[in-house]
Amino acid sequence: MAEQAIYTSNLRKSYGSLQVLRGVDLEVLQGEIWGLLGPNGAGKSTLMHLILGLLKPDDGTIRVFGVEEREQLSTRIGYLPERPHYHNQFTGREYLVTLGRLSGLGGKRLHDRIDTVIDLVGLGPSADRRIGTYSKGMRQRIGLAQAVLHEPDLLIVDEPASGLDPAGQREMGLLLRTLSETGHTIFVCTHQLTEVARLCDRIGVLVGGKITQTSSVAALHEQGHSITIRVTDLPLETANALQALGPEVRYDRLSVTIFPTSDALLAAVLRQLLDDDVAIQAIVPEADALEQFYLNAVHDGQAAASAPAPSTTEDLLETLIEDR
Amino acid sequence: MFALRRLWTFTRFTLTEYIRSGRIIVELVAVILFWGLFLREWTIGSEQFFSLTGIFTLLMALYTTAALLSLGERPQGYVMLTRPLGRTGYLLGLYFVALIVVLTMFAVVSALTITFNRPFDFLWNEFFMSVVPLLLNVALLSSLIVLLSALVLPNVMRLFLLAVLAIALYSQAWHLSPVYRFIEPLQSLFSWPLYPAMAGFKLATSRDWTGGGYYIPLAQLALTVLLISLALISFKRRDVILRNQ
Repeated sequence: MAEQAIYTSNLRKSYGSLQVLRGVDLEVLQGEIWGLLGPNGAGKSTLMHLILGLLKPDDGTIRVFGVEEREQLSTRIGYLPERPHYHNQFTGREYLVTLGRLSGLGGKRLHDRIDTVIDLVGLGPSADRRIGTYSKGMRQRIGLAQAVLHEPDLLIVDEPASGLDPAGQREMGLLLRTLSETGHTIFVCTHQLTEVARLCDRIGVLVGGKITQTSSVAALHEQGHSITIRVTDLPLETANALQALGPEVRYDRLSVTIFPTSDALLAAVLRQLLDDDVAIQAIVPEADALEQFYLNAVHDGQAAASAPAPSTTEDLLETLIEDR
Repeated sequence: MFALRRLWTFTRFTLTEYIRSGRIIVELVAVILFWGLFLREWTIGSEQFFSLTGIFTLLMALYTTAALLSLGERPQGYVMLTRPLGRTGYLLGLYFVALIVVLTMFAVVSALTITFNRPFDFLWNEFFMSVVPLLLNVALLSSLIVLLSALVLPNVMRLFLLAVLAIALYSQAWHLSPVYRFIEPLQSLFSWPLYPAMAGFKLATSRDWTGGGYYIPLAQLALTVLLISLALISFKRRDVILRNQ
């Protein structure tokens, strides 16, 4: 069995009275691509910054490659931030030279490595232009180049497809997949489900300050789609009868969702609705397993959380800066 | 050794950015204006030169250190901080760039003055004897600004330290106030850490190193090391939350 790249246990973090993480348990194995999903403001960036050692936990344990002190591991970790803020006054190559030196590279090895990563991310001749002239996509590329420059064992990536066009997103996904195949562990934070489906081996959903559900992407793909039956009004007796059919059946007053679906379960639900004379408006094969997994996790997590989550990451950061 | 090399790499990088971004124009304009207004035409002695430049370099240290710390508070810092440079190298790098900029500006003012309007009692050996306490005061003030920055201390601690400084510095005005007798013991207590800075300024202008004068630069240096060490300890223990642009 592969060893742990990231391990957290009962990880808690608050900003003043605002509890952002309420006991996060996470295990990322070496060599896998692990996708962290979650709504805006769920604390994904906070979790990443805790793993990177930029934030200090209130409670709980964080170990990266079995070590708690992250400064010792900085040569083994690469980080691609969500917002592509880089030093505009430098060319891409100058920037990479500096970051390479900060990571302990030097001489011919550094320059060879820079040429390699420039080729890898497809920056080409733009590497000799000032970063201030770069488009958002090119900034994302220079960001990835700096993150992998020192050949880290663990790559922490925050919204890698942010600001990229569909072709760029696909290319970024392929790049990350290539890196994973060469032995890198990748911890990626995103809210793009298509990206997760294409890229990740395992995923978890952070909501209400906890990772409420984890799953392998392959297992979700095997589960297929959900089906939603839209109704005019669901009587209480029917709802009770549907509940008895199993946890795969969820409902509210205007719809019944079956996930994971099966012919037998669909037939049983339809029979119950027809028997109770419930008017069916539509039967919609609505979401794939991944989407449904995410929606269920968010629904369950929000129901379990007692305090409301902050509206967005930006709001949270603004609050923190003002508090400071 | 590797840590020093990384620190130098980051210092050089930040200094280059400070120059390329044009921020250094503020200091250059200030130097030219200061020299043109105070040192270009009037007949001056070395004491006047060091009194004027002593105050000017402190004001410049205040501005430049604050400007460098605001550079360090940008989200660009996250990528640097996750490198082996670490928090210590990051904060020291910003501090050293501030010192390099102010020292360079002092060198420019000195060169202009020595070339075009040399003080009537100018002697090279005395010049260098005055430069030492003057520049140590720059290092001391910069380290205090670093310690008082939002990057390093929480707001409550910063306000507390500023209040302490206010009590220590505003003793003359408070003599007239009825609350002075309550403040006086505090003022006596809080003003002693300022002694090396005050004595250093006096030493730079008087160039009188007799009677234990050689201990003053040592005291300045010790206080500088103490302040920067406190800043590093606090920064290492804090959450790093950089401002969005």
